[in-house]
Amino acid sequence: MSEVTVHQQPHTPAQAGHHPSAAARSDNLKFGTWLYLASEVVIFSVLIAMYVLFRVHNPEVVAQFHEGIREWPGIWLVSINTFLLLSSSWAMVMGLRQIQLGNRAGLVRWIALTALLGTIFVVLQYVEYSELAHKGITLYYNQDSTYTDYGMRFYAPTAFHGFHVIVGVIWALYVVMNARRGNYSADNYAGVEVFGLYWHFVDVVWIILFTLIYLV
Amino acid sequence: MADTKQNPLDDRPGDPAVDNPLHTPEAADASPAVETFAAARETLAEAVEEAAPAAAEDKHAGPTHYVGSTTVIRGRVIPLPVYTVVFITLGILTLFELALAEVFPRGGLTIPIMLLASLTKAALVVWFYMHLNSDSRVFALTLLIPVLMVLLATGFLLIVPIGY
Repeated sequence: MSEVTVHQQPHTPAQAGHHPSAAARSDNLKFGTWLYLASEVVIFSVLIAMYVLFRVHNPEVVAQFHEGIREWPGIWLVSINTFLLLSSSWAMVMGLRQIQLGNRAGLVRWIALTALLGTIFVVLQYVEYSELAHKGITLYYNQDSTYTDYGMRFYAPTAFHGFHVIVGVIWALYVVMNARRGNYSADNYAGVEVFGLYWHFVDVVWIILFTLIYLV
Repeated sequence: MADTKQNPLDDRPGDPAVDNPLHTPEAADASPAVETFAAARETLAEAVEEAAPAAAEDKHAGPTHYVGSTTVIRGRVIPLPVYTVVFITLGILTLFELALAEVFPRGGLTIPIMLLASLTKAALVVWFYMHLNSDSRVFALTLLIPVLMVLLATGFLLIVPIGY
């Protein structure tokens, strides 16, 4: 009679006595970030939809706004800001590429540049808001201004986006700090990737807002 | 203990002596062709067993999104990483949008063209910078589902007359 031995295979990593692989952890982290971004999509979409509805029903007010921002700095300031944000996204992926190559110093340089470009974006947005306030585009109700109903529709999506840029700059500095401490390597850069997802999402939102609010 | 492990390459059914009436164990052992075949089969099985775990590890090893120093577009090699090529494209599309908005009067075809350029830019960032070109399709769904739902809701609001 033959002897039969049954080997029970562990079903979970915990039973197996080891943690999931780095790749599995990275995928889980990224999936969690994508779910968070999905919630952000809903919030921004509502703000954008609110603007689009106003734009469709009040084209004359928006046309007046576009005429108003033709003067310097107006559209050019916003265009510079757009290029700054596009450049920051590029700097972000170049930083990711550097850590994938194992170059930690390169990662620090590129992500620091990302943070710098994001900071300049926020400063220029403040300058833009000051200019617009002088033209009567305010957040509060002003019966003497033709932009009374427009102000909220304009500031809600752009300022909420600006808040996200500020958060992104702080996160970028945190990534820089972690990189300087040697917490990232060619085999472990999930933290950089997750920050990248957030930063690129902020960039995508601005790409849409720039066209919808300032150009169309 | 009986070895119940099945060789993945051994998919021949039943006992060869039963399947083939001409087969006899003595004849099979004596045949040089069978010996050569058996040796080759063992070598191949060992090679497969060695290669399989290595392939499984490769799937999760190393950088998943690493891009090289060059980009190939329609067979043409550009000496820049794809990230830089995408960045230049984004810049050109933005300049195109600006020129369209400043030179031509708003309305007519300019609005859909600008919207299309904007959506193209957004898609480029999501596809290349956010790595949806190589990541799981589940990630793309988490982005697409809320976008589609909001588009439906906005479309509904747009067709409802003011006052309702």
